[in-house]
Amino acid sequence: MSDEKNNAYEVVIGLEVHAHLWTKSKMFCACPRPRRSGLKPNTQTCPVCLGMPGVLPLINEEALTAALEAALALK
Amino acid sequence: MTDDLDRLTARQLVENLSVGDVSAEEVVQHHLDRIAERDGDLHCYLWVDEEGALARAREIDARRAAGEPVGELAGVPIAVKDNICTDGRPTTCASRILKGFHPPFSAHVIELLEAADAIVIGKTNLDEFAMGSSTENSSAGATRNPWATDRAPGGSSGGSTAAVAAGLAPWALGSDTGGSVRQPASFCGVVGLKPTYGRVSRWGLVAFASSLDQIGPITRSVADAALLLGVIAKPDGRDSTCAHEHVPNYLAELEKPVTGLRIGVPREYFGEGLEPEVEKAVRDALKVYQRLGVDVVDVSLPHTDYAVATYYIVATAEASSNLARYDGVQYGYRSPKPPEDIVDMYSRTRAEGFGEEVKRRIMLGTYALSSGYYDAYYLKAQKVRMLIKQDFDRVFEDVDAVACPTSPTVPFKLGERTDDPLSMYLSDVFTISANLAGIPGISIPCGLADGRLPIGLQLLAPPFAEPLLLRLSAAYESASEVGALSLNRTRDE
Amino acid sequence: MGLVGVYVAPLPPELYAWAGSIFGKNVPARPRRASVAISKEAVRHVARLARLAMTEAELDRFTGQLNDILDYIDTLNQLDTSSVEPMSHALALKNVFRSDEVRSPLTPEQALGNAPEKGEGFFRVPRIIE
Repeated sequence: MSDEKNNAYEVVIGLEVHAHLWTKSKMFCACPRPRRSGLKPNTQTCPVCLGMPGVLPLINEEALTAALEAALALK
Repeated sequence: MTDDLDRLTARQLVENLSVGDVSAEEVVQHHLDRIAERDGDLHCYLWVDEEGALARAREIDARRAAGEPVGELAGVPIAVKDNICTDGRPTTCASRILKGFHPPFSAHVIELLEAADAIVIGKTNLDEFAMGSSTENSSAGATRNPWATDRAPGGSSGGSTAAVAAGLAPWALGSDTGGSVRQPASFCGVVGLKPTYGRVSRWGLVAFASSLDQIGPITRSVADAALLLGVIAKPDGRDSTCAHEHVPNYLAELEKPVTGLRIGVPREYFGEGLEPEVEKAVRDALKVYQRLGVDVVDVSLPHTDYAVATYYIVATAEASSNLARYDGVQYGYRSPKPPEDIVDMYSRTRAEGFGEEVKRRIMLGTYALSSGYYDAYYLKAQKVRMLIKQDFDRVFEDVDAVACPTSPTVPFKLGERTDDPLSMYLSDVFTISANLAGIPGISIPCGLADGRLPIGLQLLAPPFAEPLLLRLSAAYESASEVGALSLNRTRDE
Repeated sequence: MGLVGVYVAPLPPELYAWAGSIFGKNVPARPRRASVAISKEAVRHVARLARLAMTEAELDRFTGQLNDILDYIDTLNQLDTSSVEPMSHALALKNVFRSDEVRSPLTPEQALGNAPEKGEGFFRVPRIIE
């Protein structure tokens, strides 16, 4: 291709970044956040994260702070 | 004395138990016997914990005998609506889709009651997932009104109110989203209180409409409601919508005089559709208040007519979200037919597991929230909800409480409204606004139509004004003969 | 079949026009419309969104009932709410959080205790991805 044709295109690269938040507990409940592989299934769950009837989520304050820090850092 | 055990108030039972006139085992056994005699006809209970209740009773008696401390409600049985989670015990919401579900945790209110040594004697019938006004939407069949067994006990907490009225429990817990404690209390001639939104923790209450639901006491006397509310209103960090308000001493409020208080009577609640006997009983109740020195004045709640429509968007939208979890994966019913794929499993499970009314509301709610309709329905409803709340804010600047009928009609016959969903929805017209505005409300018995069908007076007050509601209710109860009547009336049915 | 995804069907054109006509408008009181608020096809779509399998007869019945209810709900359009804030909370609480503390999870027996089908520590479900 000639240089002229190359300059007709502007390259845009988008990065979708998932930042895994380093907290002790999960986002909506006090279950431990699984930190390693090899854990057996359904051993780090509670009625909230299982979505049982009658439960209510409660936002992890540290997760919110960490998310805000990550967002600001990547801005 | 043992003959009367099922006619006493919970407070009387607490007193008799504490002085040793009767044992917890006797109280529980007496109620189990009454349930065995009458519940075949009435169908108040979905599950009775004969073994567990007696075991707890014996354990409490043993502790008391050994001089050990016991809780403030030690030995008193309580019936619990089956949409409130009880650890290791069935919690079905009267739905096929939760058949066999035993939660591994208890609701906050149950933890509080059991810490006070109250005994959960069984789980009561309700309209499926608390959706209904007659308890006819239960997958286990309707409960009958003990006052007239061809009539509905009201709903959705009809099992609880009928049990208390019929002597099958001294008191009970219900839940109120659009009137589901107050309306059945009115139909069964008992006291039913809906606390301010956020007064009582919803942890463990199976959610119907998260911005409207509240658990409330159902009792034979106003003092019992005060006692029970005092126990269950303790704040709970697990519910982020639960207030951190200090729990007042509700019982201390009851003796305070009501002279000089102002009650507003909303003119919009006294139009077409209000049965004459209901109107008469309520107006007679207002005269009692006047004799007590209360100012009874005319007020206006101009957006009353829009409350039912607003509710049926907000509540159904929230319900469609809350009931999305019932999919046959982790608990409850799963369709036995081999599915084509997982979506097929969800759709069949839900179609087979949910009753008609639940499906209708899920559909309505899903539609209201769907793309293209959110602004027209849900957002619009939230705005009208604000107008309804503002009506109350304005009225409460002028009066201390609002008084009106709880229901426009006396208890209707079973089967009378089941073919016309809209007519069933309209039976909640006087109770719905309180849930939308988040304010507390109470229904107290104020008369009998035809000498036999209970009528309820409803009082509404500003947020966290339960002390005032209880004070006004107690004043009426002492001054009128009606409260006493309802305690004795169903004794010989 | 065998794919799981959100199935979004395009709405029939007559619904777009109807939705536009009630959007934020202050409509005076009027007698019940003869026209249909929600068509059977829209109801079929909603049932799919709500994951509720339905027979044709049920769809017919629900369409009739939903129309009655939506007609009644339409009275909300008599109100001018252009300067009203929507009410999203009954109690004005803000910033209610949980501190980042761990509590013991359920045992797997408790977590799986109500499972309709289970095996090897998992909840067992039909194949999700072909």
